[in-house]
Amino acid sequence: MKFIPLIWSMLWRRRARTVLTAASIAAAFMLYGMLQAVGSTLALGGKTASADTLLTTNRYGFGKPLPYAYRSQIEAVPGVRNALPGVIVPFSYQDSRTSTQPSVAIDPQTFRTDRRFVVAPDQIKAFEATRTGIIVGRDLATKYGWKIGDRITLTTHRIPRADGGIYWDFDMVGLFDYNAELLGEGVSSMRTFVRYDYIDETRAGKGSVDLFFVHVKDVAQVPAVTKQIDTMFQNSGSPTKTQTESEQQRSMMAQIGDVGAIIRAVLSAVFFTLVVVAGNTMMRSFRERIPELAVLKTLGFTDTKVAVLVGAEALLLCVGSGVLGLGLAWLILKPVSHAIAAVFPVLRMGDGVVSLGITFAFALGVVSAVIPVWHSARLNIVSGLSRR
Amino acid sequence: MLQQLFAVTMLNLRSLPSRWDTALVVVICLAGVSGVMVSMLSMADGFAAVFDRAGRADRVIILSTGETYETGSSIQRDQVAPLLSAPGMQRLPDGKPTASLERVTMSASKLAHSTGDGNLMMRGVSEAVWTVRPEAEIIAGRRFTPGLRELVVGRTAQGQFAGLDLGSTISLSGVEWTVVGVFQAGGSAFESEAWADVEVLMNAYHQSAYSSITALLESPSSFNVLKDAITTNPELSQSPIAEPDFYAAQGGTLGMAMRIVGWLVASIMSVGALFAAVNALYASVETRTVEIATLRALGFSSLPVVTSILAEALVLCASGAIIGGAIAYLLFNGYTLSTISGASFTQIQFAFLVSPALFSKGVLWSCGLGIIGAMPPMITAARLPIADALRD
Repeated sequence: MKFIPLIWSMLWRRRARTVLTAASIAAAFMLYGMLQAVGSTLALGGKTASADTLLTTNRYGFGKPLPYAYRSQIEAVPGVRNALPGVIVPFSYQDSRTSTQPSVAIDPQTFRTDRRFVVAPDQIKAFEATRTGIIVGRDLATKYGWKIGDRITLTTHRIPRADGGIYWDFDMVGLFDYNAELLGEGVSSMRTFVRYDYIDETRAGKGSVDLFFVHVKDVAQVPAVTKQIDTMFQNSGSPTKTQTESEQQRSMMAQIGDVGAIIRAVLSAVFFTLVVVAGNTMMRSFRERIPELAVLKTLGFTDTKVAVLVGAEALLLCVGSGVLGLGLAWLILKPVSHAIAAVFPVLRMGDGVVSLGITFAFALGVVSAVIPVWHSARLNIVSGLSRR
Repeated sequence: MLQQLFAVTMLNLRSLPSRWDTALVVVICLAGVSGVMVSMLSMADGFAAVFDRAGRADRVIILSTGETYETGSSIQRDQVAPLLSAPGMQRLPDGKPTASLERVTMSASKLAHSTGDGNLMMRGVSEAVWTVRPEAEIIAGRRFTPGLRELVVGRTAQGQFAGLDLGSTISLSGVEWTVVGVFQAGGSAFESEAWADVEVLMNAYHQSAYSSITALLESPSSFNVLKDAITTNPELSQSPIAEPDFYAAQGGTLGMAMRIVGWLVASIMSVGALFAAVNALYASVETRTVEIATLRALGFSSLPVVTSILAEALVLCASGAIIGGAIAYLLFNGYTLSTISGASFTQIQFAFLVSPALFSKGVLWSCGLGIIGAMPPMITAARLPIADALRD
């Protein structure tokens, strides 16, 4: 412990060099943190999905319709608590080209069944009582300045109204938040929910849904229920594909391309460069200090002690800068995550990213210190002192 | 003066090998920056190229007004005649317009290299399509026969999806099709699709409306004539979009996202590399302190000294960038990746494209970093107190 001030002053012997090296290490770890956040967002699928919710979609592709009439048939399957309809509506507000925000037309019961959403009980009641009701994510409401009681007009070309119009009026009855206990902090609520029955009676083509949210009474029954639903509709005009939400999101992510591989490739290039940078700094700093280290040995420091001092300095620099970089990434991700919330609901460094980052920083310190530590342990006092 | 500049610069560059370790740091840092930058941007370029290649200024796509994707657009059968009689379209000798009526539909299909399903874009086309899109050529088998359930598949679609071999029968969305041909379309997104006779396809999937019409114009300038004729007709709810604009919108969002991410990653790496380069160049000046002071004492002005530092930085950064760019080229040029694109989630396959322009962009960027990185050591060297430095 008493050597910490010594290590600290050794580190600051050349202020400019230490600052520059620390800055380049910090930049690398900032990049690491941000890229890993993207990676863990894409891999997050399995975590935001609840295990007892199944999605039933058209076997021929997501977005192809299924008849609403399937609802009662699915609900008759043993083990199913309910099957709630969903239609994805890409509504726009005001400027139709830029601000498309997804809306899901659902059965109001969804808020009583699905634990991922937190809505005040009186607002759920108001939603059940108002056909034109809309429940808005808190972040979206803040963005547009919407308040409960407002009348909100949204447009969409995707689902034509029976009267040929493209404008839809809704009455805002409530706000929802994502359940932070279940999903973790920082998931932006940038979408809206409207009522399926209102959309269906007003639109041109009626009686179809994009998907059913099938809630199962007991997680253990999931495989049996999945199989039974798909078998039931196998030979109908619209066969179904039933998956847990996490399976569905995983297969979607697999199609986006192997983002993970690209991130790994970039980070390998970054870390390789970093080893060279840090290693070179340590080596130079060691070479300059050979006489000083020789003095320490003359004063009675053992070989091990001197080697430990040199190694500790490298570790302190690498881990310190690494932590600084991860902190910067965390600071930057907050506003960025907010700005792109409509596309990615969460952008944050997942569990393990930080600890893995610190491990990398530690490893970097070890690798860059290997040669100086070895040399300083073998340093001969006489030749060390004569270097001056 | 010029002679001095040259002499000192050469002196410095010749002594580089004796400072190989700091030189190597700069080279490796810049190789990392330009390698990553060139690879990331080559991905964005390759993706954009898939969409650029399909666009021709004298070709239009007619869609429902306000739609930017074919999947959301519809053209009723009774709207076809007024659309096809609109002025401005190129006509065949028999008076019929060179236009292809099209209907797109997505079909979940087994991917070739993964266990999951991907979305295969199926496009019903008129026979005129081979005239409207002359870049589409059959490279194996033959064209589909109108009236039969036959498919021609794009060459990348064939690689992406299982069961699209020539002569095989495949069930897509519950309908059996026979693959009779493979086509290429100049590397455009069409190569990720499967084409069939539009009437057969609509019949097979119980669809009543077309999605779009693709037509050739008499010339690019007749676009406005066509647009006015269609948009002023009260029976019609469609409007034409020139192909380059249409494809720019298609690849736009994702392509832009790739570009932004590419630049973002490159910029952060550049900042890191810049600090490392400044550090290394400082070290290099430090090693040369006595040499620089001697030169100054001999009467050389600070300009040649400063220039020699800049030259050193530029040489190191440029060689780093060339190494990095070359690695990016060797590893990634032609590397193919497939992703889902657009509102319809169809599979698009594209190849990374390391072009000479991109390569030189990497070199220029690195040289820019070199100039900035050389500034602080240049200032230090210019202000070097000669007497103190010589005594050291």
